[in-house]
Amino acid sequence: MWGWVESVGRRAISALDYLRSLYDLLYLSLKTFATDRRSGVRVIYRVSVDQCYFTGVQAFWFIAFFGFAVGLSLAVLIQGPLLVQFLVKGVVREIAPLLTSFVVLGRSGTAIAVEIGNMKVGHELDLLESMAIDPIRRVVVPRLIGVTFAAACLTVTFDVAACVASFPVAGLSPIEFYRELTRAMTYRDLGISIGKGFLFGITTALIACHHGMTMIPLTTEVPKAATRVVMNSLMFVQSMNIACILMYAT
Amino acid sequence: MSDAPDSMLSLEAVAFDVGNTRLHDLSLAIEPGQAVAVLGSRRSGKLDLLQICLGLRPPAGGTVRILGQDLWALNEAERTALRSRVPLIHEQPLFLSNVRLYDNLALPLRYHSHLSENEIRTRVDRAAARVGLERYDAIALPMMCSRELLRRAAYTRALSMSPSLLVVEELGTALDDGARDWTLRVLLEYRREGGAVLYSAPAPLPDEALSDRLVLMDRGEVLAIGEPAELRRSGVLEDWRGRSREEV
Repeated sequence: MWGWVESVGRRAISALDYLRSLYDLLYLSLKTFATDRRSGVRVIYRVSVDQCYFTGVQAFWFIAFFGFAVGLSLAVLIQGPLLVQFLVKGVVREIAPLLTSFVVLGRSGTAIAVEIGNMKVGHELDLLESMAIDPIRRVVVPRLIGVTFAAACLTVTFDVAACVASFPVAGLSPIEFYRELTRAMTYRDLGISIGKGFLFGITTALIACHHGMTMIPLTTEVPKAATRVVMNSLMFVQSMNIACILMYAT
Repeated sequence: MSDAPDSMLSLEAVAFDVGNTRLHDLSLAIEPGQAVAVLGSRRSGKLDLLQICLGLRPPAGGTVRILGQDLWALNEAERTALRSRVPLIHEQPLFLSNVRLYDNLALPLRYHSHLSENEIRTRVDRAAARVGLERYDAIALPMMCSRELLRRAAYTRALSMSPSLLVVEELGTALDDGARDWTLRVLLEYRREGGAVLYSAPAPLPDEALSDRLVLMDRGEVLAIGEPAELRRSGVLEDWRGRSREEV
């Protein structure tokens, strides 16, 4: 009996520790971003743009196809008068941010953890410190900016692609379909979709950076860190999604 | 020049006790144009001492001054600005592996200064010329470059910052590694211009020109600080050699 309680307690403490370390990393990133407006601005800008290109631009056509496929298949399944309602409440608000975050996690979350992990193995973070360059400012902040911005944009791409794909199935003229869609979709729906994309993006990037930065500097630890990023991000994103639903549905 | 600091770096009654390294009441000053060697075996604590001098590790007590300013009394931004004047050249040349060679060389200037890209290019090229790196593939990734080129590139990156003090990790290794002539030439030239050099090495270098003062370390403690001739005359250097050999 007590062994079970002890095990639950230990897990709860380690979960809290994990949350605290994520919070610490987020706090330090925001602090260095907000307080120091001079050092390395162009370096941060450049790395953020690179990250945005990798996470957003390179995944654009994939997300567009993914959104199109999901929109088309769901539209075929739910033909009828409820289609547009489902498109807005189901796809735009729920499915698009979630599936986009899975793609971002698969492409960028793991890549970030592996990249930072390899930097750690190669003493590149020590190199930055020896040049008086804050590794959080040079490595973490641009990745948070790039992934978050790209994830929000990709969510919109998914939304648009899904709507375009469901149009031929709706059996309406383009003008009627557009009118129905704009009647069903409020700014709140769009805000929830983009907001979730933003939230899931920053969570994925934060978890990826955390595992890269705290990894034991051994090459054998790099793939383990990538695996942990996938598992923990999935868990966090799902939990946040449930929390969001409870928040705006009640 | 009247407000120029007397010493590039000074340690005043520094205390440090982490791991095997125990420093008590350590005082050391490096003046412009001086070269100071921290000598010891791998586990003697010399790396800890270099890191304290670079501001990478805070001492438990005492004061670390760079260009006359108390490093740990400054706020973070001021400390960062001051630390950027003291670059470290690692034993193995380190570079960001996914960043092109020129961007690696320009990184500290882009990060710490507000110079335009043209001015940065001029300063990097000037530093590259000093170390004999006139021609290099700017867009190559570091992994595609030879070790010799990376070694020169590491000096280029450090010198492009117009440092007040150059800290070199394990200088002896570089000198044994076929880079002797140009490394000595660059360091001596840098000294003549008023720059100070602090380096670590396992044993005194045969070139006395780079050893104004020696800091002898063994098993995490500083055994003696002094001029080579004085340490040799008093037998301290020979004693230290014996102890270092025992440890090996």
